[in-house]
Amino acid sequence: MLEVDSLSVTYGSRRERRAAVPAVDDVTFRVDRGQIVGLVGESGCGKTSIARAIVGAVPVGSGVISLDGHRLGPRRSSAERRRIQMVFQDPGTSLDPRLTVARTLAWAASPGLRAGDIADETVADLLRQVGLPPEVAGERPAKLSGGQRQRVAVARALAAEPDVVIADEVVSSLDVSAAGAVLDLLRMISTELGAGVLFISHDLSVVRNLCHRTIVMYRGQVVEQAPTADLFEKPGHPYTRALIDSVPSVERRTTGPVLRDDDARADDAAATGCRFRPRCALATHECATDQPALVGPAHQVRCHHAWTTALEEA
Amino acid sequence: MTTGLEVSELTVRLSHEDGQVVLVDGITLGIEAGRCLGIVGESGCGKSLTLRSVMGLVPLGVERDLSALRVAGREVLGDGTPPPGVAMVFQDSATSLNPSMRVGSYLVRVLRRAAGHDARSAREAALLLLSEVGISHPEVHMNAFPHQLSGGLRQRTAIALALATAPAVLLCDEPTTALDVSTQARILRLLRERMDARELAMVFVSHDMGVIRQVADRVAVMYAGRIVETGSTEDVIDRPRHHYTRMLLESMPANAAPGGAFRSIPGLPPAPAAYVEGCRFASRCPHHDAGCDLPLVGLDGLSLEHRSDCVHEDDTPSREWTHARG
Repeated sequence: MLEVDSLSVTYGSRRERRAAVPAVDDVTFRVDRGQIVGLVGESGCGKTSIARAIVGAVPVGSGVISLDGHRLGPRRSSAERRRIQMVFQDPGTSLDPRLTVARTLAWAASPGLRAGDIADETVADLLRQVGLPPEVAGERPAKLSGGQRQRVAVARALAAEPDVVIADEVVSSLDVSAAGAVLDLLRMISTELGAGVLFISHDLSVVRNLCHRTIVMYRGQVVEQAPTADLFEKPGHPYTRALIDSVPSVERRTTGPVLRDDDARADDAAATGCRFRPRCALATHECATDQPALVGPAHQVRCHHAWTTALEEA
Repeated sequence: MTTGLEVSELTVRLSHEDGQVVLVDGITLGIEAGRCLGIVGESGCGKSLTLRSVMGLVPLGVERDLSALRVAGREVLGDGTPPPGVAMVFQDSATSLNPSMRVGSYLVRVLRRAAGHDARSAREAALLLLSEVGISHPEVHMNAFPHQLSGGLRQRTAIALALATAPAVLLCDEPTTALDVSTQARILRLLRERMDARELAMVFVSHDMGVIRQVADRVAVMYAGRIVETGSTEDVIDRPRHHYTRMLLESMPANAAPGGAFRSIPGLPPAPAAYVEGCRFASRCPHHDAGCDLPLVGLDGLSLEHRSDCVHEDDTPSREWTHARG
């Protein structure tokens, strides 16, 4: 299983890093075998930086990333790299346009070998797993639809027989008519192949129906972490509540209050205390001086006023 | 209620060496002032192209043909240049603003050209517009370049620019698709407010039924270059009559049963060159039969508020997609 312990990531040169605000700040979570963990938050909150640190694409500032108790360092063997696979948002750019699907998959299955050396059954098996017809093997990505390309990208990840799959906004660029099939694939990866899945998304309606646990991030920090059903039924952090309320419902027009705009200048003022304070309707003096800690056993919340709603306050 | 926008029999064709393909196939739509028409469909169905054609913004080699284009009751069918009284907000505000000009200078220039302001009154009008779209420090904002702004602020600026010409009709092409959900909620709220306050006729294109529910009063569902169903937002979403609309709603991840399988629509929309006279959704439809392949007469019952061109009218169950939710 994948463990991320007190992970921090800071960008910039060595000198810049000393003064910079970390993109990922002391994040701890785990993804068990067969589990799908959702990672949600607005753009810039550090979701993708976490994914990149886990696969080794950006250096870890501090903290430990380990797989089955084995620490993954900055330099990884190819066997270590193959155990964690990533699927990206845009299959139009993440697949090599010059390679046929068969070669893409064959290379992922056995790097270093020529396409001819790989049994066609391996490719056919992978295509069957992701629900694509065998004819697709001879096509290049340009000939495929967005949904088909994303399924090829999933097949490429599966070719390495990974222990963990990181899916970064994998359905954001797809039509809803094609998204369902890709989401079902991720579920299949967890239930049938027993791999762990880290599902990064800004779309809470998808997370709600797919993930076992959900982590909510704000400005590099985890602000809430809980089993998904708990998180949606009893969200503790005002930010989580605001995110859930922002999802456009297909059932009715929502009329409640909307989350305030974020304001870069106000954020500088929030260098001490709670980072969400400038946008929070519940903020008090305490929020300005003390940074809240992430507390709780299974359902963790980082807020001085956890589970307080504006109504109870009034 | 006064009509805001009327578009009659819009056809968009792409010419190439081997002939022509029809991308948008004779659609008619309209919306009253102070109301919003949502156009929803998958990528490639022609929804953005419809909007761009109304604006006269079609790529080279593409020709548009329509029998009438009226804005606030006035015929404005001209030579294909942007019709007066119509403004547009695009999906990608980073490319729709001029990257080399400060936001304020650009806005002032538009105000001077389009609304005949002098330099001083244009600046005042610009500040007023920026506060109208919810920008808290308009004086500071005027000096910013587009790349210095967040996506939400850029889109607010683009809306201010669109409103600068005091349009009667506002066309919105997926203006919130690139934004975070919380920003999206605020921009949708802003657009509705401005629509009410300025009595705008709005056409809002989106692929997301949830967004359409939030913003639109009426909905047109497009598939393969045609409108296949149209009606009030409540009728179309709560009581869909076309199998395509119903399957589109079912495939929304939010409508999957908790822990249950996600649905999708098998197959792909046809390529424009393969558009048929009969129902174009038939190849993906589980209820497909011989009747579907006969040429369609178009949307049924011209007098009806809620129209569909599905021949299986009677067996379409209502609200089936909500069965899974508590």
